[in-house]
Amino acid sequence: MKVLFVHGLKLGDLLMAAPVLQFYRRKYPRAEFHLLALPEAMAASQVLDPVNVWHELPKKKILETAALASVGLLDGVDLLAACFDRLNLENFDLAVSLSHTRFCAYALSLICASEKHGTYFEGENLKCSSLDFLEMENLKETRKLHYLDAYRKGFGSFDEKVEWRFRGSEEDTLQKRSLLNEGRSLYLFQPLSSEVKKAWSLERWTRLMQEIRRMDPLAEMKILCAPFEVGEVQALSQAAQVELLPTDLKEALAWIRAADFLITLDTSIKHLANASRCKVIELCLGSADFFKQAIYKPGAVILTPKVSCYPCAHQSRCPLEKRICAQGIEAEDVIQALKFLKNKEERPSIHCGAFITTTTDTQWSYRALSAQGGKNEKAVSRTEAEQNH
Amino acid sequence: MKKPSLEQKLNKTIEKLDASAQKIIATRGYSSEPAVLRMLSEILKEQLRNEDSRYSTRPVR
Repeated sequence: MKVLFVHGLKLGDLLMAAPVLQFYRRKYPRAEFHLLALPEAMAASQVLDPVNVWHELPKKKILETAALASVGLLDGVDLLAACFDRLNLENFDLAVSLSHTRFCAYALSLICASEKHGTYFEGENLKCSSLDFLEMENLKETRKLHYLDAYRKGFGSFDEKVEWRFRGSEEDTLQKRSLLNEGRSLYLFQPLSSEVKKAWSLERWTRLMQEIRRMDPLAEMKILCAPFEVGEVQALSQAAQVELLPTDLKEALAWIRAADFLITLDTSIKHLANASRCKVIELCLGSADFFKQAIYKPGAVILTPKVSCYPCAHQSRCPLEKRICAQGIEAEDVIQALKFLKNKEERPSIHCGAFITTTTDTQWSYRALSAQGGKNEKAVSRTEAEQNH
Repeated sequence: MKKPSLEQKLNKTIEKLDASAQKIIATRGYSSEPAVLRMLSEILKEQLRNEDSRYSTRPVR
């Protein structure tokens, strides 16, 4: 049996869908799994083990043809058509749309397979393989479910335990751990996100690292980044006197597994931490809407800014000259979160908008330890009411 | 940030693609051709929607 998964979003979204792939692997243990992804998500091949064959959509070439007047527009059409002709030579039995986008729905319509799961076009009609996907389509703006839970419902795995498993050996982790001095805690930081409006300021990251060093003088601290991002985080590394760790995704996973704490923005790295014992603090800024896409791990702490525009729309540009949400979480809030994770202090005194801790018993949920400020407070209480309902 | 001229160009291309898909459907009915045109249009729309296209096309790790 051959199965094709189609994914049309970024790396983090694909890593977040890992439990769906594991679910299909349990369902079809001997099937050959193919995955069609955009170039920016192909790095997932380093860690997603249920997939046997990866196919990259030639997005860069397609965009070039659209942007260059010298190249005919039809070149892009030909590139896409050729890509799907090649895929159809594989004779897939099942095609699964892993992202609820029109792009994927059209892609599935071009795949010849006897069975299709997810949302897809049949002629001009949008079809859904389950009523739950239809509900997602009709209630796009509701905040009832984390995206992963919405997919689990749609694909029929909601009653099964969420399985976070990424490729990588225990030896890799032990080897990283052996590099550390006995009894010291390892703190990892992920200060870059692919979207500028989800960033926190250099000054705050620096202050946070200095505060951690004051609180835990033996702390081992490292800043995670991709090799090509070194230039962007060099200044932070120098200001805070914290070592840079330029790694690929597989190495990053091994370091996260060896770490005690990960402090991260809304970025792909946080999803890797779901398959580790590492304790996570996620700073949700800009369009990082924690109700929909937060880390899916019990006991993580999520901090949001105290500003009325959070969370903003994914598509819109920040209209402000200076992003106020980046100033809505203080280094002290993150220190409070660390103290909570270490000592379970129940009443954190915070400056930021919301301080919540996550649960994942049957689905993603949270407990608000503190929420203040207009939209944060309303959003937290409204979602709590929806989830209880 | 995207240059306004590039943004205009992409918007025009999207319009062209959508109009072509509509024409094909009206004259020859629905087939894989308009589906490919619409997919291409969706790729471009996604590119425009991203606040910072510099990042949306970069290789991540």
